[in-house]
Amino acid sequence: MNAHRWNAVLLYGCVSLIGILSLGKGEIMFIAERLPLKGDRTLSDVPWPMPEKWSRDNDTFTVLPSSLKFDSNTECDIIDDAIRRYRDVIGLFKHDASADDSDITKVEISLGKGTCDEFPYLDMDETYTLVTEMDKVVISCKTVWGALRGLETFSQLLFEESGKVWMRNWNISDKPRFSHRGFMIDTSRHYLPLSIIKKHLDAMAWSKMNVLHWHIVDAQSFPFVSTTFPELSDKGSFTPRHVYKPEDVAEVIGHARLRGIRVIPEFDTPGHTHSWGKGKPELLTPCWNDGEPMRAKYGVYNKAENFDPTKETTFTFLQQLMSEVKDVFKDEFIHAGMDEAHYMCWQSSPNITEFMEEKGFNGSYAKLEEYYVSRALDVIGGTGKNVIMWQDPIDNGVTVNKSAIVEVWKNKRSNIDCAQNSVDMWQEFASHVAKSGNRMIISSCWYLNYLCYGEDWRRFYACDPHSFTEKQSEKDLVVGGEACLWGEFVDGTNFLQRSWPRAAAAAERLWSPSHVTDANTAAFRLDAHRCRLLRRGVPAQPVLPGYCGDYDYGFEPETPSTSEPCGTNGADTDSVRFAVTTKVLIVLLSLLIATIP
Amino acid sequence: MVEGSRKMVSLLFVLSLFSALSDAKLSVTPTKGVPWPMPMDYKTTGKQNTVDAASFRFTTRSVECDILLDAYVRYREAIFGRNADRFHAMRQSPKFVQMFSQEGDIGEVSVDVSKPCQGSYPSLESDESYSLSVANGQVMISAQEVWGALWGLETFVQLVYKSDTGEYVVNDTIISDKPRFAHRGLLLDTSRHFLSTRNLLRNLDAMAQNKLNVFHWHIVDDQSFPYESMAFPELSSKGSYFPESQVYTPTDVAEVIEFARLRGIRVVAEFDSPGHTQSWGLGQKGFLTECYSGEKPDGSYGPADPTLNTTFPFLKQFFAEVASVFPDQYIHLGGDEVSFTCWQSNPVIKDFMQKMSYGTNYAKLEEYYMQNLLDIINSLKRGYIIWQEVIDNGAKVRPDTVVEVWKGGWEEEMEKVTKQGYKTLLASCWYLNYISYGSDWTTYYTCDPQKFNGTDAQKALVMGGELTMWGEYVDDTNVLSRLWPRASAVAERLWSPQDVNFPLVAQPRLIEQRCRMIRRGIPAEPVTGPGTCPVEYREP
Repeated sequence: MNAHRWNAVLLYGCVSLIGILSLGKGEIMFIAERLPLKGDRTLSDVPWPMPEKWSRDNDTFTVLPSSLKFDSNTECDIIDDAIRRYRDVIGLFKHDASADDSDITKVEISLGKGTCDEFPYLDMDETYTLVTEMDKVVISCKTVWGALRGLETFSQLLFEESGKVWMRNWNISDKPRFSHRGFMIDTSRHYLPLSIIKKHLDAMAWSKMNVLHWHIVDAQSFPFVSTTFPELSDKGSFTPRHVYKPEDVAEVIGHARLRGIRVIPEFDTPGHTHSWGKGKPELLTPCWNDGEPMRAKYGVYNKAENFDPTKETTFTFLQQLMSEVKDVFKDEFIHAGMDEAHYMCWQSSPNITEFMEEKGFNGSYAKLEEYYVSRALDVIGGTGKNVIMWQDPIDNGVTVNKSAIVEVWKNKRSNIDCAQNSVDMWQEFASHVAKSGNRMIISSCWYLNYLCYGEDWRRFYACDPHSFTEKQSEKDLVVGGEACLWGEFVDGTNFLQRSWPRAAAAAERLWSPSHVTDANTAAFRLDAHRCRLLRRGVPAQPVLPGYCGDYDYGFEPETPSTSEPCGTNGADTDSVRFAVTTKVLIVLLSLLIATIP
Repeated sequence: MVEGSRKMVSLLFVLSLFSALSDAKLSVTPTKGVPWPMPMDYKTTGKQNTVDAASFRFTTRSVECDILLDAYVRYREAIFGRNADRFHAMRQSPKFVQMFSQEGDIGEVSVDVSKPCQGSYPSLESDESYSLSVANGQVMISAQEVWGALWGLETFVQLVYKSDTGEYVVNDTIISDKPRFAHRGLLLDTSRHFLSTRNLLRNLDAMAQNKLNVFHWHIVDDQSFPYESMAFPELSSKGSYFPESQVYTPTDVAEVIEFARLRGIRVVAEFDSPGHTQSWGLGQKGFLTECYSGEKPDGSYGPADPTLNTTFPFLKQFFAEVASVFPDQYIHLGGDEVSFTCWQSNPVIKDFMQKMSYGTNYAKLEEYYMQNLLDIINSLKRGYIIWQEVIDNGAKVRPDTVVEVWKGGWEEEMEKVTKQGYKTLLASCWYLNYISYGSDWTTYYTCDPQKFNGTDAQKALVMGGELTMWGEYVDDTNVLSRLWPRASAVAERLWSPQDVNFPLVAQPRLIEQRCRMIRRGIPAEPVTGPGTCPVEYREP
């Protein structure tokens, strides 16, 4: 063993000379400006996101991925599946599988409680420690969720050099700074195929994000198939193929669960509901123009818009839909939307005016909104779920139940302001929410759909969710943040490329300690992380000029991965149909030819 | 009359657009079977012809050649999908046709090309005009040269759409078409990031789908030298990012050139010097200027060193190889962004400056370098394209030189360059690597390369333009989705008549074009807001 150590030390000498960079399998450069890149390059093999506490020394150990044992003291499908996945992931490292022995022979997963949770939840314990011992790596944690994070970290500590896989001598003690580390996807403006959503969940787990906020429906389309109200997607989806059937949703939830990711659906009302009206026209408020109902006012409102709060049937419907949704989605939270309920259509309607008089709202449409919000929240609360909603009702002075989590999304900086010195301006909104005492999620500074040329990840990296206050009590209200990729200009062609590695900047901000802020040093680790995502099959876009070692996106993996094949959602049915038709014809033809004497 | 009918079509687009807007915000109804880029003269009626899938074939009326035969295979696949080829032979059998042929109007597309085309290579002078008629089940494409016939086939394929009942149909149409500009280019940068040959080929397919005809291959730069030279193999073995997998072998380069030729696309290679050459220095010792810090070299290097007696012999041998590998009549020599600081620090260069009586005018030294290089290219009987700085610095170039304008203030520059009588290309408006939120294609669409102060003769010197996708933030993961269909906007500007320039009118057609490209395997991203395609993109 000592000899091993000595060899390792000698080898480390070489490694440190020839290939600190190859540790991360990435090489970024910026010759054009004739400037050396700033930051500390030697940290490029530290995991992404940066662990809370870590140390390493110069000892290196060999690891043989193909014969590495994973032991767990707990029976749990989540652990079993994770071991299977990480075996594949570390199998991607180039190595000679026939090599006779390795220093590290085992990864020991030791769960304190020895329990196996069914689904991840807010404030789950993701703490773990990881220690390299003589011949093994020990991951200790209290829950399976900590085990998942520890395994991910382990997979990021390995590197390949001279045909072997190595790791250094590490001692890591890690836990997330925020418990809600989300990514919002929008499947209404454009449809996202299941295969893309699942690959995205993989990338989230590899960046230790733990919430998929699924903005599943909006004005443009209603792809969620409700078994109670099938007409919603029958009429409201783009086409019958652009839908998420119950089994699709279950597949997403299952895939996410195994990776410690919660799936929170958003059913946004009372605004953003045009597509609901296609299947259920009675839900929407008829807008008035020129003294008649159901008349659009170009550029102001459609012919019908916003849920109609005057009808009891609106709430009965919502109650029925939510009692289905609460069973389909397992998380304790439902996102109720509640953003941008523009008043113009309501203001045009005499029915609404009459209703407001009856209720004594005294001409205040905020009161009307409040009426809708509180009734809708009661409906969701009645299902036993908790609510997340966008900040708008708070802005409008609506009193909101303290149990609701408010998501801050507004930003006074212009969407197209790419000036280097421009700053995010969302803090006043967060302060305002804090005054009401609600817990909150910050997403204002992580709108990934807005683009700037170059290294715009640095903006996302610079945003701190606590920066709106000095008071600890107000900081404590922040449960975390979310990167949002709204779907106007994104679909299967560019979704993953645009998300990664930009979302990873937010992921580190939400996981790592608040003092990890040096973007110049982070750039090397981010590049290594992007190459890692690439190696594992996610088309993460470049950070700066450079390359990812001998691997690039689209190169055939040398070890077959066991990830699922693409779903049929993106299938070219034209050619499928053609092939099927042709096969039928061939059979018929051969039968006919056979009958010809 | 014909002109009038194109405007009528445009008007219909506008009307359908507004009706769509009043129904549902943000949703625009795409066109069906309308080509991109818009032809010069385009007349169509609502009368549908069905396509007889079973008997469908292309036939050559006059001269047959490799380019046409290859195109027929591709375009059959473009209409009927990926399996078309496999079953084509079977579908051609008379028994099959007899028994299973559904009644269809169009069974044949006749192609008539006047000039022989076997083995042809396209040029700046290619005749790309064609005419196309679809009437009473008869389809006829005529062209002087095969290049026009190729574009005619592309247009025909774009006219085919699926009817509500699922049949392939084409409306009665008469088209007479030719490009507004002869040089319609797209620049890819394979130095800042390596791009796989496979993706280069896919991009050539996408270019052909938009009638772009020049692949400007910015093949090497500071960051890496992926071009594998037969004469100087160390340039790529030391200068590429990863010599085992991230180089273009002679076979790769030949494949790209041939693939492009069959699609009527020229491949213009750019070997940029004397600046942007850091990666050359790794494999060619003594080529770059040693930078000094005080009395001593500081270990860093600047532009090519024009004072050494080895520099120009090397370049002569190197470019002789380039001229033998790339058949195009033009070579792009770069010549942009030469930094003088290193030259200024080097005592040998200072002596040389003195000897040549340049004083401290380093632009003179740059001119000296370029002049020597241009003489080499002259001796190789090739023309050259150069970035605008070469002219700005006053180098004497051949009269047929094409000057590419890329900096801001392009209107003044185009005026100046054309006044000196040089052919010119515009790139300034079309730096597609600079991304921004939303529908930025409209700004590319509305930039007109002839909109500068100048005489008609000056305007006639505008050969066209190029869109660029510099590679700092682009690699195999995102190059195609970032290019398309934003590049389609430039393609239409460079092909279609000047007055086809209203983005709102183009939008329904651009949506159709994007979905068409997706169906044909290109991951063209959404650029017009929410919506969907009948067939979504799937990784091949």
